[in-house]
Amino acid sequence: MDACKSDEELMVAYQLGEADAFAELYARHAPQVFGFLRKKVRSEALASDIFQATFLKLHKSRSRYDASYAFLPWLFTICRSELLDALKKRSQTVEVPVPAVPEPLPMREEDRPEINLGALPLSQRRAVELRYGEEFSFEQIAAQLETSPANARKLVSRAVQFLRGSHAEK
Amino acid sequence: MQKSELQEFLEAERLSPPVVLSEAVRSKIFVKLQPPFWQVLGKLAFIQTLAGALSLAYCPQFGMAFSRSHGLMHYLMQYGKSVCMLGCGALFVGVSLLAASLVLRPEEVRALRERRLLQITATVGLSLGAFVCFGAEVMEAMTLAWALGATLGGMATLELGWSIRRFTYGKR
Repeated sequence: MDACKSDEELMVAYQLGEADAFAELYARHAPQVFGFLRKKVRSEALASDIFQATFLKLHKSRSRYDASYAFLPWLFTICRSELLDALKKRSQTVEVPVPAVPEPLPMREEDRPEINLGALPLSQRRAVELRYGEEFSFEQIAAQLETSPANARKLVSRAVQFLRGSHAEK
Repeated sequence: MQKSELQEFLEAERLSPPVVLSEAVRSKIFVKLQPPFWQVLGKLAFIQTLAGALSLAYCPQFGMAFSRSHGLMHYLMQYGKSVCMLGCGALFVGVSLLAASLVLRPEEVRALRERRLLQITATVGLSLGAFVCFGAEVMEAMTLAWALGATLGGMATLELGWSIRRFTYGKR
């Protein structure tokens, strides 16, 4: 029965507490999540931990899912967020793309300074990473950061201002 | 241009997770999706206590009402004492089950709906017991009318609250 439903319909059923809907979603997407994590993380044990954390986070955040958006990108944002958290904790070196520079600065390539995203508060840093690294819309950033689209826009704007300011000081 | 990580995720090779891992994840989620019924009843009892206290605050019968207005009681009494008791029961249990269906987690509401007769019988029994403790006169015919009103009101508002939840999730 559930096999005929779309991911988004299954998510609505899962939000309403249907265990079968979760089972179907898990059967459909667990291999993809695991495959992605195994590609990103060398250690199978760490990949398993992140995999588990991803589905537990999915459960915890399911009430915030909006069925008018596709399910897979949402699952991806959770998976990636858990991956980054785990890597921060374990300080393991893996292939995670460095976010792109927020905005082109008027400067020759050889003079371009390192953008120090680490100086930004965590929420602003994540917002910049999602906006310029993943090319997310403000709505998607808001969903990821559990805030409003207007606030997501503010976070990015403040971060860019800060980066410009710190660049000007140099 | 660097391939987006989302694209990489979507195109990732499908690798089945180890069976032990899948079992662990599924069982953790299933436990959360099937809360113990006694735990749900405990939460319902708490909500019933609050909603019951609120309804007693406007019912003149126990002398706890904020106002001396007998408006609702007079309105129901014009149709007879049985109708009044029916309405009283429906309101008393209906309000708490409506609140419960909107406040509890969806899987908890689902558990209440799956065993609706059991939980409403428990709610009605405990409420009547509480009324006796408060000094209410419990007469057989009136009690039956109250219990019937409570059962019907409780079932109706539980379904109403559940429909609201379904509508809310479906429309987002």
